Amino acid sequence: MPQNQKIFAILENSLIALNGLILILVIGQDHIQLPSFLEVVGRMHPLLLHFPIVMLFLAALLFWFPDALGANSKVAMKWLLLSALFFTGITVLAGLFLSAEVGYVKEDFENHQWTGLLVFWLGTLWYWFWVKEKLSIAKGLSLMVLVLVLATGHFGASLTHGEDFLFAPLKSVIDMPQVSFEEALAFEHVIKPILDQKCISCHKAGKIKGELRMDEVQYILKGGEMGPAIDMEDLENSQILIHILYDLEDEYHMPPKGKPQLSETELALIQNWILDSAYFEKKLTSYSPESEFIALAKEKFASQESKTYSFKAANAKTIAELNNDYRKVVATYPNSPGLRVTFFGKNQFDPNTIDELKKVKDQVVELNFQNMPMKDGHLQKIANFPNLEVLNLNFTGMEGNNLGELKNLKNLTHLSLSGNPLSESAFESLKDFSQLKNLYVWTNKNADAIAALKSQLPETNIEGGFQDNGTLYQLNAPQIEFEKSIFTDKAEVTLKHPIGTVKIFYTLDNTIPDSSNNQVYSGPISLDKNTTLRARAFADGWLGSTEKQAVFFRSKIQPDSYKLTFPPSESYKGKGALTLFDLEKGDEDFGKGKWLGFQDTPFEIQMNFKSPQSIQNIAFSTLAAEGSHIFPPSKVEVWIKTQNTDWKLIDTQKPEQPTSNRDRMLQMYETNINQSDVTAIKAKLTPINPLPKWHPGAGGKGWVFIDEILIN
Amino acid sequence: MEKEQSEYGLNENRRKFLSKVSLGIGSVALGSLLIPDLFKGKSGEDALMDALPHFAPKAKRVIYLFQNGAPSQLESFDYKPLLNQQIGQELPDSIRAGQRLTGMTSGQSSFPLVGSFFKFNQYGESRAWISEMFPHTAKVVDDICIIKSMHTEAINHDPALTFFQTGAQVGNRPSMGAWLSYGLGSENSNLPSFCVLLSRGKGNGQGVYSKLWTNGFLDSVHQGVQFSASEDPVLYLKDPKGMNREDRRRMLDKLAEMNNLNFETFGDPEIQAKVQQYEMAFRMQTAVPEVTDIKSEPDSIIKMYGPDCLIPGTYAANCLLARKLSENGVRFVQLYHQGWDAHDNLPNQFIGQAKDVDQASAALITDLKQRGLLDETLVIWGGEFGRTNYCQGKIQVDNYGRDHHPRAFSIWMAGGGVKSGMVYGETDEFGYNIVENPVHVHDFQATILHLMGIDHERLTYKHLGRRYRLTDVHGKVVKDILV
Repeated sequence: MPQNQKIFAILENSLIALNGLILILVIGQDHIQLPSFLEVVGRMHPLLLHFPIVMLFLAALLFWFPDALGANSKVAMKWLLLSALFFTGITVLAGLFLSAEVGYVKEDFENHQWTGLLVFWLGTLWYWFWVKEKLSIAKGLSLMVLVLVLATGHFGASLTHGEDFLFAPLKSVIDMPQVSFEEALAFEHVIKPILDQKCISCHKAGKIKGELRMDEVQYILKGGEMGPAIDMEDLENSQILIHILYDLEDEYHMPPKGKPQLSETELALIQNWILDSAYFEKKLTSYSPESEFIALAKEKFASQESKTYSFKAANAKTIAELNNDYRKVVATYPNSPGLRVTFFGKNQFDPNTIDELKKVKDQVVELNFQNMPMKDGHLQKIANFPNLEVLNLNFTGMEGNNLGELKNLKNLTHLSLSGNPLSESAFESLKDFSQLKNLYVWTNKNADAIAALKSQLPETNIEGGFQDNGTLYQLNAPQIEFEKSIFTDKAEVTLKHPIGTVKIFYTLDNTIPDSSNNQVYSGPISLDKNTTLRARAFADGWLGSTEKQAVFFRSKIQPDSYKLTFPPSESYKGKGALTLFDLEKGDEDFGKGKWLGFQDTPFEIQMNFKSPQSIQNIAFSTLAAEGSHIFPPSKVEVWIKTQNTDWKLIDTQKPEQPTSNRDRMLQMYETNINQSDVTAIKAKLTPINPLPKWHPGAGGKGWVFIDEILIN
Repeated sequence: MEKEQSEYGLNENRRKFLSKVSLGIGSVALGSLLIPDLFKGKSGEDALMDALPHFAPKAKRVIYLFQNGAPSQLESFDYKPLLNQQIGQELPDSIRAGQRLTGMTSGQSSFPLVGSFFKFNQYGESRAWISEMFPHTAKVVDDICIIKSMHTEAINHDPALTFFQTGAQVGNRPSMGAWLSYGLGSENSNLPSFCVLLSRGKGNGQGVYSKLWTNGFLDSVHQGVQFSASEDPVLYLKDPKGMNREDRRRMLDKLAEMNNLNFETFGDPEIQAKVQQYEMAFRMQTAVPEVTDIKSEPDSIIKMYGPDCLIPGTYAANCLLARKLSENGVRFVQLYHQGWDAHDNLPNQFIGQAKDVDQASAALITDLKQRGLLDETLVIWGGEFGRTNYCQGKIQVDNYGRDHHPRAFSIWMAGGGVKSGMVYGETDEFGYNIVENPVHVHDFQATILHLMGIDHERLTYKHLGRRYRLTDVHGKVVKDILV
């Protein structure tokens, strides 16, 4: 205890001393001359101030709840309050030293100073009344001290961190000036916002580092200790320019290392603005569009998105509920309250779902219905979106008879009606849409109406699009689709063309389809005999297409057993003899395993039937590709055996040989049999040997390629 | 008494426990108010993605008409009459300045200059020079921005192509389309956000490989989906024969049920992602045929693109399909047209290649424009590098070849926030070096991302311990060409 008493006595005494000292310093504030070691003490103010704040609050707690620490509470309270006041005094002292040093302007830190001083003085009184047990007065004083501590802290923060530091987060969004590029001034809206953000916290009333203020144009021109920040006489040597261009490591570099730096664009903006005469009042639009400064400023405006809406954003949950796989509802740009609605999937489209958007009817600024089937009547629903700006109705199929419904959408600037069969009355009502900036009405048919509209809406950019100049192009050939070109019973053939409006003409009698002999394709064609199908496509405004051909074979009878006399070449052996009866036609690409090739030995086959067959004919499907040494056979021979007769040669053909290279082609050799009791057939196709003189391989052996044998 | 004591002890403990716990929970709850993502398990990337696009986009979609094999700038958009005057003369060393050669001309002892076999004319308000091989492009010259000052780092096709598409010459990074899909997602949830279409001209071709449209280290949903020229534009999408849509629906519902059971057990979000992907494929089964069907196109559209567009797999058909995909919300449509690698016989090959692409490329511009879509769709035309101003092999006025040239070449861009009717950048009178406004491949990529509303420095993905960008650590937005 006695030791406590001793320390209490010391503290109480120093409190009195501090009071005296502070009183003196406040009175003689303007005349303080500090030795440099006291400047150091002064600069410790931001560190010291934390001690009294905490201790004063703790002391107040003990004061209001005196039983908190039981019997020792009173002593503890005395300890706390006394040392709190001691540190308050030291802090105030340091603050006074600091104020003498740095170039703060008096009126700005006066609030901080006086609230700080009051904390100290009223705190001292609080202690005094408490010791004298005048508790009610002490209670009042304690409350005042606490409030004053808060106020002092707030004013202090405003000094170091900038005015209204505390409430700035609540304000900054609202205070952003919103001007369009057209209205913006070079200094006010481009340069000043940069200075406000990056420079002003140290160069303003209340904190004039380097004796420079940058919060008003007059101070910028007046400059600081180094000279004018912007020197109208000598722009290149303006101090702003010099300092921002110093290397970051340089001690004169601005903003100082550790503070937020100018971005590349900001630096370029300031530099270009100053060097381009540093106009303070000039509008951006009065600059030459060529100037570097304008290019950069434009960029800044573009990325800020100057467009604003007067309506509020819709509820995020509402927007989420309106989104589905076939309808997207999204903000037009980040944080925009405006919404863009796009519909996808014409098979899923239901015009009545437009009404679901009523919940966000104020927010919808873009509607995209392209390719969705719409009727003129649905336009009425669209008229319910008062803030609509962009409307896309391309290829919806509407005639636009009641487009007038949309006339009152005053914000509608983009209207797309391309690809629709627009009626005359549609063009008539479009004349009233003077609010439009862009109108897309391409249809390829209404050239005159579009031209007339252009003269009626001179302010609107009207896009008429591609107009067919009458050039006739040739259609491409139709596609012939089928499962197999060789069939046993019946074949079904489909004809197709990628253009919807064509007519496909075809013949089945191996004549070229033209206007005289054709049938018009209307559905799958059924074939039941060997047929050559030829087809061409025709359409208005086009030249008739080239021809597409397909040959179909019927192969009704299959032998019960068959055997090749000589095996095919190793390289072209397909699936052996089975290849000949698999009903799969080989194509001109003979390497694919659908062909059998013979060179050193002839192709010779014997086919047997268990029961005697009535056979009309037999055909051999072969390939001719002279460039690849594949020639027509030099000889085709066919023997038959019937129930009653032995082998008999019934046909020998010597196919005509080519005299020069031709395109690859499929060739058929047919032999008529017309016997009712055939039990076996033998056939032999002999490769040509030697190759003719005109051929590059003259003197060598030719090939025979066969892919199918057809028996009917 | 004992009972009471123990009960008291229990109560005391329970009360203390509850009060402490509630205090603890309360403080966590308070903290979570300030950190909204605390319990969502969101990674930094997810948080980053939430902020996309970074600013209002100018372009919503991209159609990139890649001219694979590198078309010659000297026969297309970079008019150099000096080369015709000095034909056969040696390329001055001061101009070549030590530029490396490919293996194909490194053995050549002389580098004779050769001028364009084709005539040039000026067109449009921009008075841009365009060769006679591009009459249709010349008609839309006031809608495009020609950049004559592109340059790249690679000198051979594959690295150069990979560099253009992924920002790196080695092929393990995500393609540009994958980055955009990752950054912006799909506009239409019934179609992939990145589609790829291939075609091939008659000229000397260079391969394109699926690594060019890879998702790299990004999630596989961002991979480019190749549409083929066959009857099934998207492979494995069609139901097998005999399966109808109702059966498929029932099968997917049952599968989803089982997957959800699994999800309840393991809680792996990948399981739900899988269910979503099955659902998207199901919707694609109707969306893809709807989009790829050209029957609904008016005749005049077909005529505009040229009748080639009726033949699946041609460049013209792909341009038309690209428009249809793009208009249906596909974020990035990547075309490749092969056959521009004219090391010899250039005039002849060039005629064929230009004929393949000129009309359809110009038609795409006109088509988008007349639908009001050009403003929001960025169209890009260009190859992976340029071609030398000197001849490779034997030189004749009407028959010569050109080797690879990375130092300067021409591309064009249109729509989507790019200035129209502009010619940007300039090369020296030999067409060899850039003298004004060079545009590096990374600058080009940064610009595309910028137009799509993305800051290229902030679109990143962490992989193997570091963050990756399309533009690596380079790239400056080419502001001069922005509207």
